Amino acid sequence: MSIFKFVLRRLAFGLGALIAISAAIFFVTQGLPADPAKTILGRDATPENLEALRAILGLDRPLLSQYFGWLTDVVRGDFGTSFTTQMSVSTYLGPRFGNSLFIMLIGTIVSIPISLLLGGYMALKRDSLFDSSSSFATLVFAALPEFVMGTGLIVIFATTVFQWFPAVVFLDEGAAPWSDPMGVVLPITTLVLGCIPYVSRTMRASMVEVLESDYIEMARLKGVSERNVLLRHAFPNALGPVFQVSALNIAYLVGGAVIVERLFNYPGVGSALTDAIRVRDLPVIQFLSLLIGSVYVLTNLIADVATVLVTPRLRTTLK
Amino acid sequence: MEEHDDFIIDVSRRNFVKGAGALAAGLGLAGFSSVGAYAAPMAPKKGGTLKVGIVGGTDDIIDAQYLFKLADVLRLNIGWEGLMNFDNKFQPSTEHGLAESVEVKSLSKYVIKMKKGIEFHNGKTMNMNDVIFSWQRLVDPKLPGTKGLGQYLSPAGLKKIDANTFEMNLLQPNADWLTSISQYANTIVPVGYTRNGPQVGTGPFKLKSFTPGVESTHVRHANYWDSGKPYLNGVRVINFSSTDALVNALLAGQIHAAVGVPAALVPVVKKNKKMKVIETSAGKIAPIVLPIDEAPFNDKRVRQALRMIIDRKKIIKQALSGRGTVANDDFSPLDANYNANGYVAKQDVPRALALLKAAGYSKSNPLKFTLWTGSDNFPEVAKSFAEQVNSLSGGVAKVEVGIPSDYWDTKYMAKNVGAYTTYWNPKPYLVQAGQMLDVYDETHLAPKGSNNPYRKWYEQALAERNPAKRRALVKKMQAYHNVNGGYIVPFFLNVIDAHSTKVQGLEQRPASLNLDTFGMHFKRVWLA
Repeated sequence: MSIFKFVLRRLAFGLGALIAISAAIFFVTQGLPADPAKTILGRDATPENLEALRAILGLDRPLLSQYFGWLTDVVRGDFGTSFTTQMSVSTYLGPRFGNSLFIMLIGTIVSIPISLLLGGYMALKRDSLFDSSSSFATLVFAALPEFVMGTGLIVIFATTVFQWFPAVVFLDEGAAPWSDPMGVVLPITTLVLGCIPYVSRTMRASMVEVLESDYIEMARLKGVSERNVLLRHAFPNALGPVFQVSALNIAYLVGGAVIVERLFNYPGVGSALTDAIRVRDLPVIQFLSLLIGSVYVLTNLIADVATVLVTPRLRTTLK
Repeated sequence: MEEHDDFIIDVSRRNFVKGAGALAAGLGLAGFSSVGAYAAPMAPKKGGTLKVGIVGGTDDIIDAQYLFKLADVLRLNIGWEGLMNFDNKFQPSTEHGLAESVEVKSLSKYVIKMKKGIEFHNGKTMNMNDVIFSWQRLVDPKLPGTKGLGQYLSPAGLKKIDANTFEMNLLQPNADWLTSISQYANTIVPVGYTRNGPQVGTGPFKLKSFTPGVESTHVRHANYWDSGKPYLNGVRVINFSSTDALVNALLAGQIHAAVGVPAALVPVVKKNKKMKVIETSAGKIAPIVLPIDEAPFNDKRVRQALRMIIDRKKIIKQALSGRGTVANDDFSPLDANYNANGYVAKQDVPRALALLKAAGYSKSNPLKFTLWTGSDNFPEVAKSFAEQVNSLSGGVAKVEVGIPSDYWDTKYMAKNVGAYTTYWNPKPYLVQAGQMLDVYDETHLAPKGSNNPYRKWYEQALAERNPAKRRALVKKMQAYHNVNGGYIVPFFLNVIDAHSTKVQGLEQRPASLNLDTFGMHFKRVWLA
């Protein structure tokens, strides 16, 4: 099977997964016994205005018909109208998506190289003081929830010990997140600290395995320089599993940013999701859940392809 | 107030001394003990924009006369004013209102003269048509949220007398009407005002921008009627998704004031010398509602046992981090007639168990019910209550806490759902009684048209002009409620806010609204 066919096959699987995800999201959210119309109208809801609102929201139609209507609209790029803001979901979430993408991208760009270097170096210095202390530190960070890490960073760098950085992010209407570079330092640091442990520990394990492999020993016996052994033979082969973990991490960033954004009051999709869940803004919840699901599918697809491309053994098999 | 000034004085100043004094001394309210603890006032400085943080979301609204959440209350208070407001002693007053005077012709007829030269944010001068329109909108039965006032006043009861005066002819006498019209949401808007139209009021700041869930900005109303005020150039209300982020922003100096600081975070804020905490109690309550006509609460012994078994101090400690005051199932502690019987709800576990036994409950046949609560509705109180009842009853009572996925939908105030938690902002006794009888009938104590004595005394008290006779009626109501009522009111909650020392003009005094009644539309506030 060629790489092209492999990618097509994975794409088809991804599409299937997305359809399954969309159905799960829709029926779990829309099918809940609670009534969004009552939530929206609250304490003063009357039977008449409840009925009118249900008709406006399309809640009076059969669930299956609602699902296919929604799916058709999604395929057309119409994600509906937010119940609370009365804006189209894409208009409402567009700027927020950009904001989230910014901290996720920076978080990824910063965390992946650091993790690879840290993990690789830990493997090279296996069983040294550096290795054991780094292993311990990464284990501690892996065990800490983002909320705790973020709060710790706020206490140390924003409120109690030092006041070097803002504790929360205020972005003026329509302003880009990079217009407040100091504001995004702590949220991005929290995301980076949340990602590094997993990727670096995977990189370390993978690198250790590769360094112990026969072909590395063979390379060394053949007199290949240690630099070449590491950079040309060990490092690329160790990256395979790291791609998978990194992909999961990127996907995690989309969902995990929920907590970080809430903590730092960052106006991204994460905080929009928590707000939407609180007010039962179904179109927003459905869109964001689908978005997070799509990111999972897409990043895993990319990771699969990348793994194949960087792993000579797999690359050869596909040829 | 021209005629019957003696009557007005009687329901205000003198009775406040009784009510607040007794409250401060007898109940030891945190807020009052610190009145006057602030430094000597400095001369106000003009300029600057006050940044106020508050928890809010995309469901925030701006409506001059209607609200859902605290963030809506805050924004309403920035831009709009009513006929009357509350003075420094939490009594109805025209000082900060748009009325010049209120003449009480009778308890069902009030003549109101307006201040002259009031200008709306759009430059239009307020006239009597605006005032009548505003009150028609407030009592319009077709609009939501008008039940409270609408039971006393219909649009037909509003009559223009001259260019500056109008009268309110009530559907029934109401001795607490001045308190009702002093409520912050009863504001004046220009003719034709709607929620979706231009947001125009008479308040010290006019709305410049509003993005629900993000922020709103308000700029100084240059032609504001109260000369020299406001001192600030503007107010920026910033939404936070959580109280943690709110308090962090305050401590980091990113906002000047935080509205609604959780009790658990007060020590953290107090440690910072650049911050001040304002903590008052005017009697906000979070009762546990036991509908008296639904099993098992239709047995009076069950209601009494549940009141008796709990340790109220412990609930305050567990659910409010100690920041509240013990209550005796009655409400309105600032009312002159608060707890006229001197009733004390003492914990008496053996008696509670005896009552449960007499009602037929035992370990093999325990009293079982679910106490419904909501994330915005003091779930900690429900948990603490359930925990205490379950452990102290030794298995004779089994209370579960239920948090429905959709609070408004299935559980809140619906019939036949059992017990639940609720909350009320402070109001005088008769106003609160009216709300729970006819606006949100939570306990089903005395439905309209019933011969229930509580309702009879309530209606008589509303029509009673003589304070001593009214007190006697309220006393009867309270006694009846203590025995037969469906509320368990374990405590009065403290309202807690915080601000940086840079913010001046805020004081710690009795107030039903946060941040010293939001600095009286923020016109008292200035930045040092």
